Amino acid sequence: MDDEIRQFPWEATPDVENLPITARAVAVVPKNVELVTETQQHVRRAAKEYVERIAPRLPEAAREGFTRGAGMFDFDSPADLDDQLG
Amino acid sequence: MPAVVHRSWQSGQFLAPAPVYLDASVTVGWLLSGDQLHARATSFVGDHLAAGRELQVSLLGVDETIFRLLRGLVASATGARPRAIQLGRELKKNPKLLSTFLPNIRQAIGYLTSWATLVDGAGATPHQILDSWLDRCGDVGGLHDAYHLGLAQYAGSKSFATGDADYKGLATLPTPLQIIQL
Repeated sequence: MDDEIRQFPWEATPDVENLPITARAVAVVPKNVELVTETQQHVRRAAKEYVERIAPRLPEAAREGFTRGAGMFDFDSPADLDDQLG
Repeated sequence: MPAVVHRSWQSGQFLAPAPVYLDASVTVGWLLSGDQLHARATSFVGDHLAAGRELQVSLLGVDETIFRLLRGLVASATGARPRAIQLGRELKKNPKLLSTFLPNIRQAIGYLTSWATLVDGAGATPHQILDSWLDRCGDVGGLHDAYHLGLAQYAGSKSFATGDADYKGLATLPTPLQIIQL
């Protein structure tokens, strides 16, 4: 999984609306499903490595906020907002 | 072309049409290292920022983000589980809680709005947004979910990124919108 993130070919990422239909079908097949089934520690490390790798490629105005904000809180917050607020 | 297209997103496979409206599942996923969507939300935002795509958040999304941050902060401070925290009750019992955590909240929202465009249906009247909101209540089950869609419609969003599965039943909208499922 980490290798896949490190090798992320962002420069070649296509616009989905410009892909031919057959390519679109391929494009939505999950390749790294294990990302959500790994331990949370693994997910954190993967996200941290991703941030370090992508940071130099970000627009300067967005770089600091994106990198500092990513994972800045270390607690779980279950997504049950609808249960409380509708 | 259908008015709504659902896509499951994986990093490096495609970029969502911009502007991309983010709901709170994405912003919270980016901010919280303990969130199950953390890696996915972070790479979604990073991929699109690197490609120069506009990402949008609404005041509603900010409100939901603050709610979940605050609940987590209060839970951490009290040693309780976030799910066990009734935030409204806790804030009434201790009105200083909000101001105590305000610096953390300000910092997080400052980081968020440094790369996301803050939108709230600019160009539409409040009545138009209200009509759209109520119309969407027939499409999705959640009151907040319907409001998000109404805001996205008038913010000119081309995509709607979410970690929630609540939008999967959405079939049509007045304007083309791609639902990107993280």
